[in-house]
Amino acid sequence: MSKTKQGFIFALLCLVALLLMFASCMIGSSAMSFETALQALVSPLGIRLPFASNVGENETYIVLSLRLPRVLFAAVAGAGLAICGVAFQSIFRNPLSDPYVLGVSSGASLGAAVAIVLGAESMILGVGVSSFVFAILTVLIIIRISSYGNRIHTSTLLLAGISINFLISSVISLLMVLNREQMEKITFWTMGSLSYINYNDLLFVFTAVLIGILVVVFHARDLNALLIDNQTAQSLGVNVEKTKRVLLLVCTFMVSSIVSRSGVIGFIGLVVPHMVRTIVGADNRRLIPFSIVGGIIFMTIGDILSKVIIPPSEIPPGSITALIGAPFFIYLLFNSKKRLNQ
Amino acid sequence: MIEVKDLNFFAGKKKILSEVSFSLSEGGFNAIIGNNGSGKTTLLKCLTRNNKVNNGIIRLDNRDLNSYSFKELAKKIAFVPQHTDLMFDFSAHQLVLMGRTPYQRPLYSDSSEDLKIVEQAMKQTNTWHLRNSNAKTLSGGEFQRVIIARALAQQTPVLMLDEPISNLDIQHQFEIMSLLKQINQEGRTVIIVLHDLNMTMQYCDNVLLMQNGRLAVQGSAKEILNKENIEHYFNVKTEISESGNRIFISKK
Repeated sequence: MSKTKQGFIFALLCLVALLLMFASCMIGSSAMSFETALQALVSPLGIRLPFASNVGENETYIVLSLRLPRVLFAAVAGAGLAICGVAFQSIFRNPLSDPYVLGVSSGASLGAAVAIVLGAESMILGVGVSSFVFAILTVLIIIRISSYGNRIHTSTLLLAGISINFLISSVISLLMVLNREQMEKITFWTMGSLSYINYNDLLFVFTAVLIGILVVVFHARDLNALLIDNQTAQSLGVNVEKTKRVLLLVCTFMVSSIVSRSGVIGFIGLVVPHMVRTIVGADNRRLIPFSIVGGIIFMTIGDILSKVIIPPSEIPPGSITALIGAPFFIYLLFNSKKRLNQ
Repeated sequence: MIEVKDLNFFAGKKKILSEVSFSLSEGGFNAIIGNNGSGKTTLLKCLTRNNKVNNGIIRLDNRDLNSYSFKELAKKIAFVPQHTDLMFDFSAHQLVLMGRTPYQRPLYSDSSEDLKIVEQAMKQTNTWHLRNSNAKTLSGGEFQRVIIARALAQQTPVLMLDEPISNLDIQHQFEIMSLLKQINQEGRTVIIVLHDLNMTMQYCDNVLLMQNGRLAVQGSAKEILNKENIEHYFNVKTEISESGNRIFISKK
């Protein structure tokens, strides 16, 4: 596909992302008209739209204080998770890698659950730090299980991820049974929810994702070389071990920051880069910007669906992304059977 | 240019290379030959620093190989592996462009100079017409030429190759070897791991013969590839053609 055509598609996707985010501001327990939502959004700038005359403080509050942080959070989380998928796939040289499939997200949610049980919840960053530590431990365990010599085998990597996921979900269930009074809070982390997001959460996760994306973008060329193989990457001047370590650390930090605020939202890192590759190919320098926008779109759609399917209740957005992501994962697995048996 | 002294290499507790010492001068076409398990590939991986050497010294341009950063080394040595297993879809052009990685800064796009060098490398290896093809769809010979183009785009004085022709049919084997000869004549030092003694005889001027992790003999192809040596080190019966550039091998 020519560069101009790709540029056009990129602009189009950005527009779609913005429209979806705006639509998500309109949707909620009390539906809002286009004009009302728009007026509420621009009101901090002191603008009064001629066609939206009677927008009360109530609506403005709902849009600006309740919905906007959530909408922006969904966008940031979607972008961050998609980029983690891009990076994980390059680091492990494996198209099926994703923070959820590998159990990193579950590790982070276990960290959150442990922090709650230990009462570290009230401490500044208590949940965040605990999530990060558990997520890193999970990554290290998975690498230890699945590497043989210098290679990480696809099938062992996936099996390691799945078994770790099993293990963690049983530990979390155990924690819930033993701490019935905290059950609701812990469930929140295992299912994922965007209901209680505020601007502080947004700022925290935005900073983490921004740092993460910048580091990944900085290494885009190295990631391309890593997609070929370690030996080639090194002969092209990439410090393979250091690059992998830095990126793994940064991506785990991104995932755990997101999970510590919203709970587990799966499969974005798997689905988005795959769809984007069909448009722009494997070059990470193009894949990254497209995946950021793709992640925003995917997550925003997931969030909108979670709000509209059975109103006024909300479905956890993680279950929506899994509903799309899991069949997609099976499809990819089906297509890569031959490779897995190598 | 390359100097190896008392090189020992262990994989776990097993000794793969012992007391290997040699030096190679600039501009040569060097072959590393020997039976399977003799340590050829391990030696090459030590030279490219894919194997980290702790016991013994390898010097490149009078400098310890370990003192080079990976980036510096990538401007000195380009490497062509025996086989590349592509998991993702890259075009041939994208693969060759990766050869410019050591010269490029993060966040900067490919310069016009990079693109020019890539075009030259692809034309020289006769792969320019394949530039937009998905590298996965190329034939073995085409793909290996693309990988050699990538090594050329790296613009290094040394080119190292690990059995680059083992998976190719005979026509493509000659094609690749002629290409390497041409590259060598343009001034690059070539170090190649080979199995094919006839190819070694025809194309290489210096031969390192490995046996059981040791450098058994080193010298010109004509010197090393004689009847006695081949029978002794490869355990096969041979005849050498009268003109001295063909080896006929039969079972002992």
